[in-house]
Amino acid sequence: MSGRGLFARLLGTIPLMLGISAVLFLVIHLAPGGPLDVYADNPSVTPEALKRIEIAYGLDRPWPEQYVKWLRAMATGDWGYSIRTGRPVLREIAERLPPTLELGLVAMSIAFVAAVALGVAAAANAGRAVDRWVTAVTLGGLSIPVFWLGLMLQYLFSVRLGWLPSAGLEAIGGSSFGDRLAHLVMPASVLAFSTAAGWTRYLRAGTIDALAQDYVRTAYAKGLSRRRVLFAHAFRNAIVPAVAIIALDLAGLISGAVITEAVFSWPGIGSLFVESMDGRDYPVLMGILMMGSVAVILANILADLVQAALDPRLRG
Amino acid sequence: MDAALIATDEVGTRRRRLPRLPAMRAGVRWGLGLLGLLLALAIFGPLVSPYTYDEQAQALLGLPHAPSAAHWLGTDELGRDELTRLLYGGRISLSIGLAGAVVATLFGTAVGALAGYAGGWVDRVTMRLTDVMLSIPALPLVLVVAGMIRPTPTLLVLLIAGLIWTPSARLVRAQVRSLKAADFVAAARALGVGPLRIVVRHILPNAVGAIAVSGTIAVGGAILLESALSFLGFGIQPPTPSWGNLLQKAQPWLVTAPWLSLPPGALIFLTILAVNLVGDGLRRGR
Repeated sequence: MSGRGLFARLLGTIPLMLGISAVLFLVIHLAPGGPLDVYADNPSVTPEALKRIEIAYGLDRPWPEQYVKWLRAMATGDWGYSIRTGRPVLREIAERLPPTLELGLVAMSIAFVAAVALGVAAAANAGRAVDRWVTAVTLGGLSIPVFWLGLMLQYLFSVRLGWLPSAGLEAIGGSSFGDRLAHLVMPASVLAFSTAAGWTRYLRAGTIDALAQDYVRTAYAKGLSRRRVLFAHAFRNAIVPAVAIIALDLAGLISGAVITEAVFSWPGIGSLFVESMDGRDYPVLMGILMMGSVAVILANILADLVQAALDPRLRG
Repeated sequence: MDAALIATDEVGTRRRRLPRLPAMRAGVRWGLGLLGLLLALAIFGPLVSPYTYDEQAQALLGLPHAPSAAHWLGTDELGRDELTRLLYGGRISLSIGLAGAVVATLFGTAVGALAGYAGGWVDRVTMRLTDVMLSIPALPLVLVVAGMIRPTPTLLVLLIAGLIWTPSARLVRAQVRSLKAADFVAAARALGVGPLRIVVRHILPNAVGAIAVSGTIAVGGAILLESALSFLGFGIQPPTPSWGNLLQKAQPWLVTAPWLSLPPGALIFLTILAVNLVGDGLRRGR
């Protein structure tokens, strides 16, 4: 994709972003009583005070007007203030992003290596024992709820064996590299396992398809080694469609692995989301949702770019 | 060309696309068997149990009690029989999962058929809508809405369906678009059959196999969503048990009463496993 093509692609996402922002805006206003419902339960806020707040925030204006105002603020980086802490939403999010990225990138790296190894091994031995085991394990990975897997691992490795800390980012007080790593092992494994399951199946199916193609027979006929045919020809073609799925899962990270973070008290975006749910902190919730949606859109574009780089036929 | 000829053609194509039952893969049989067993437990278990789901044994209040002859899976801190709550929770979780998937698939089929058959701006608008739905992170969105409305089971079904209808809509749209050009559709149109009847009686029966597969996959997604919501405290509210909120209540007792955490999650796992076995088998068997 040329620079111009990319620019056109980015411009093309504008209607989509508008649609997403409209849905999110409607969702805020779907709350019974609107965003001010939080104050409704508070006896010290009188109806008169509520009315004043409503006017101050422009909530008495018609919806379309409010929407345009909100949209303009979002576009200029003014994402509002957290109801719980009173601090800017963007700052709240920025503070929680590093742990989420740390957990996510480690988990995705493990998942990618595992998925490539298992997917290709299964495809090369389709129908044999290796393949059956990989298929069974990936089926398990797709079916097991991450919160339960997390709890069971916590019970085994923290409660029974005492090998790993059960929750948090680091021990209170000290934070050596080993300690941080020990805290990372379980959440990263859980996240990697559930993610790798889907990727493995995708790569296995793609590699099996590719192995049946004429170019693979040609490669063997040229006298290439099995290993080279498998990786340089079959896998090389199987990875192209898988890129789209992988990119989407990466984008999903930005809005936080909500469940994994909740189970392991990992102080990232996912935990911020659950905390904001408890405090009905709509500005923060909307900020995270908006950021997550933008990440999905960008991931789709990124996937197209990577696919075009991998496959000359996709360069338009 | 008479109506009888078209009718045979229609029946013929419909039969061919249906999943063939005798040739079903072992996975489908195992999956259906497991699902049947879980359903039977949920339906009949609470009837057989000597306890009710909210009955409290006064002598056992305060702390969870370990499994015993009287309470096979122990009791929770309120003295309630865990097995009975689990079986009753199965009714809630399974019915929300199944209903959510059915509503989502029906709605998705309707939207997909409309978009695919009408084409033009109707198609463009609905497809942009699915783009929007697919771009917003699913679990966070459903959490926000569930947190606002404190859903009843019925609302929860609608909420889950409102989130997972998009894959079946896209699938049905693709099927309808490719079948629209088929000769038997042209023949039906030439006979003066109306658009609604063409879609419902002539096109959709040919897509039944694909719809069934996507519906099966949706069941797993719906059960997982319900249990995740309830696990985080925003789904089914106590005292009504669901597998998700039983697991949530068990989490603080992981150290002192670990027997509470194993069964609810295992049942969610088995249910989704069963559904995935069926879905995989159907997809490959077609």
